[in-house]
This record gives sequence, C-alpha cells and structure tokens, in this order.
Amino acid sequence: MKPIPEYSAVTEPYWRAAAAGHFTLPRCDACNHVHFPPRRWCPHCWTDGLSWVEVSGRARVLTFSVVHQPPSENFQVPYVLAVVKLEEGPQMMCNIVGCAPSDVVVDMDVKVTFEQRGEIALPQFLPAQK
Amino acid sequence: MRASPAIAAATEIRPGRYPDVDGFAMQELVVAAFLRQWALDPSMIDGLLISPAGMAVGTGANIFVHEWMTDSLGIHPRYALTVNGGGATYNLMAMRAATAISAGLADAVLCIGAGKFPKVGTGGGDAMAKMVSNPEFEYPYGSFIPAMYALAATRHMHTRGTKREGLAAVAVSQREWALRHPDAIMRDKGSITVDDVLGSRPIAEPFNLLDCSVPCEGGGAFLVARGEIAREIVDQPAYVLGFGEYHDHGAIAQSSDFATMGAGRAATPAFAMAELKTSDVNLAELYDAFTINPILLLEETGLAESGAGGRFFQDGRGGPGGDLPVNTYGGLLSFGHTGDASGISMLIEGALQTMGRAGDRQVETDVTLVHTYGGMMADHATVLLGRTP
Repeated sequence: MKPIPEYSAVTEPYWRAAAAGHFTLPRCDACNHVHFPPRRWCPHCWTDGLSWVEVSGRARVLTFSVVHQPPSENFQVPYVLAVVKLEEGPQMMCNIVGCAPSDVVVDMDVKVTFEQRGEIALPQFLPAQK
Repeated sequence: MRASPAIAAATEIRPGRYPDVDGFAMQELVVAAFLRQWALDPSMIDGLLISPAGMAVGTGANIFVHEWMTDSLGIHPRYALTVNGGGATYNLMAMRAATAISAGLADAVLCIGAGKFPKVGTGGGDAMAKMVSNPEFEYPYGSFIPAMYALAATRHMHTRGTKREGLAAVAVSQREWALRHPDAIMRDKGSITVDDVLGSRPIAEPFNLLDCSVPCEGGGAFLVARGEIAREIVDQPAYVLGFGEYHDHGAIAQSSDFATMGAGRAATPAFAMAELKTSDVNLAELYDAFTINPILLLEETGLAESGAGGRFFQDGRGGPGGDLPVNTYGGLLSFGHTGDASGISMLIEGALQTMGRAGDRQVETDVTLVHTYGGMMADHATVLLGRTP
C-alpha cells in the first residue's frame, strides 16, 4: 500500500475537498496570494485571514524524474516524480499519471486528477487534453 | 578578518562501517582520532561546535551533544552549540567559529561531526525519504533522495543544456582522485569511464548507480583558532578568508529555481568578504551527493560559465592535472558519503590541501573554495580558505 497522508486541522479542508473531487487551496483575504502547502498564515504577507478557493487544476511540469529503483516495496516502478507549477502560482510535488513515463517532458501542460488511497483522494496530474 | 581565524588542525577517520559504534560514541571515536593526531593542550580549547548524533539513521537524534562532549573533553568552553544544517553543517560551523573568534567570543573552537548511514536495501532509503520530505505533501508521492536530486538535474539539463555525459564525467573525474586517497572507499575499484556510468543500473533518471554517492559512516574534527594560535600549532594554517550562506527552501518542491537551487547567493557574499575574484580560486571542494551537484555548484559559485559545468568535467579540467581541481579526495561519489557527517569531508580536504598536507593528491592552491549544502539543496554555505590571512 502506498503511503496515506496524515492531515492536521490546518490541512484537513484540503483533503476533505479532494475527497469530494475538488482541488482547493487557501487564498489570502488581504493580498490574494494562493499558497501551498496550506499554512496557518499567508507566507507572502503574514496575515492570517485565509479562504479556501477551488483552483483551476491547470499546471506546468517544472521538472521530473522517472524512478526505476523504488524507495520501498509500496511503489511500482517506473513512476514519474514531478514538481508542477500551478496556474495560480504555487509549486507542488506529484506523480504524472495517465501517460507513459517516457512521454513526460519539462514544461508540458498538465491538469489535476485524483488517486484514491483508502479514504484519501490524492491530487495527481495527467497530460492536459489539447 | 579580525584575529585572522584559521583552520589549524583537521582529521577525518576512514570512511566505512562502524557497526558497533552509534550516536555519541561515534562522535567520541572521531574525537579520539583527532586528539591522537594533533596532541593539543586541553586548556587552549574554549569553543565547541558539534553536530547532533545519530540523525540519519532514523532512530531519533541526540541533540544534547555539546553538553556531553564538554564532559568528555573535560573542558568548560565559553562558546558552544550543537549545530545542524544538514550537509552544510560543517561550513556553517567554520563560519560561526570564525565569526566568534573575530568578535572575541572564543580563541580556539573545536568543530566535530560524525555520521551514520543506513545500508542500501535495509529500508534505509524509505526512512531517509520520510526525514527529508514533507510527510504529508511529498512522501506519499514516492519522494526519495535520488529522485529529488534528479529534479535539479532534469531542470539543469533542460535550461542549461547540460548533457548526460557531462554528469557521468563528474563520476569519472572524482574516481581518479579517489585512487590517490589512501582512505577512499572506492580506491580499490579502479578507474571508471563515461560508458561505465551510462551502463550502470538506472536509479532515478537521469541518474544511474554510478551517479550516486556511496553510503557509509565516518566523521571528522577540525580546529578553528585565532591566527597566532593557529600558527603555534602548524606553520601553515588554512585562513578563513570569507564566507556566505543562503537558505532557499525547506521542502524541495518549494525551491525557487531547480536549475540553481539558490547556491550562488552564498558564494557572492563570500567573495565580497574575502575581496577575491572567482579567477583567484585554485581548488574547489563541492558537495556531491549526486553527479549534478558539482556541475551546478561550479556554475553557481561562478567558477564555470552557466551551462559549461558538464563540459568542464568532460574536458578533464576538474581531474588530476586539470586547471581547476574539484573534489581532490574523490568526493562523496568515490571517497564515501558518511551520512550526516558528509559535509565535513570537503571542508577538511579543502583545509588539508590549503595547508599543504594532502599527500599524494596535493595540488597547488593559494585560495580554495568549499561549498556545501544541506537538506535537499536547501541550506547553502560557501567558505573561502587561503594560505595568507
């Protein structure tokens, strides 16, 4: 079984929304920055008025690696470990799914999807439809 | 710098496996080797910096280390701290020791580090992945150390045109140096070629097995002292001429630029403090957990043009006989990666080379640059060492 994230009170809304098929992130009420991972305050302006908003789910691959030696028996290789930059600005780690690992390139456009792991729906990214 | 702080003594134990020695006992093993070699007077040591013990084995670190070592050494330092900045720890120690000496807070600061590293295939990779990843937002995606460094390599190759063969050439160059170091863990394995690296088992693209450093255990200690004290210990100490640090991110996914990892922001103030130019540097010791790192760091410290780091190694410029030797002890790739103590290796080698004490691998250097990083290329620290204050 792949690892299932354990969440906190601060991040629980992110996972609750994901379980319902929504990709949401905290947005600062004062400066409008959307940030990730979810924090207790806005890391851009340090105020703590935050609202959860559904984001586009559109992103671009900043960088990636096709993994051939798994860190544990929980992962089947090859898989793609990537960092994507969301259209709204934040960067996040993910796997690129829904295509052959050899099809992944830097700067490719991707969109969010969800991978079910137990009760958790883990945001992942797949190639954007043209 | 005021008081001309200098590295006056440095010892590293042979990298390998020390199965019966753990945590603080490993620190004492290292200190015993240092004391045996240098025969110092305990009354001269008034500063102590030491890394946490047992960090990389995933069983919980001991962070009360400088207190324990105070008793072991029978000293009462007026300046002491347990320091952790991952692989950057030891450059950060040297910088803090030099700063304290310049400010009159200490005259002679003993800096100590020892490291353990889980054996490959014992679940250690998973334990390490948990430690260096965001547990909630990275670890579930199968983040682990080679793949996370590969993120920098992929981006560097994409934006700067670094070639796969350039990465491999780093491993080739450093193996040649390891053949000249009596303690290097890969010394008996002989030379390797670019084809050997390209043909080794794939780990995480673009890295194959020979692009990865060799996990082992070890450690070292060094003494930073006021110039006049340093010169009582050795005729030629390694003066600390300048330094800088920069802390870019925590989790690697939050890196501000995967092609640079922010490394240059530590080097620029180091050169400014030392009033030196990049062309003054004769030798570079660059943290090299994977083959991308010396390429990236060579470019970011300004010792190679942007995008020219891979070609630099392919042309043999960093190897024996090259015009700018890099990682003259074999690096973590071929000397050995001594767990959480790994960052001490390049600082000790830089100091020994600058002091003229590097034996068969000695190169001519008046100015030596040592750049180490900690975390997933998060903490950056550049130290410039020289033969004249």
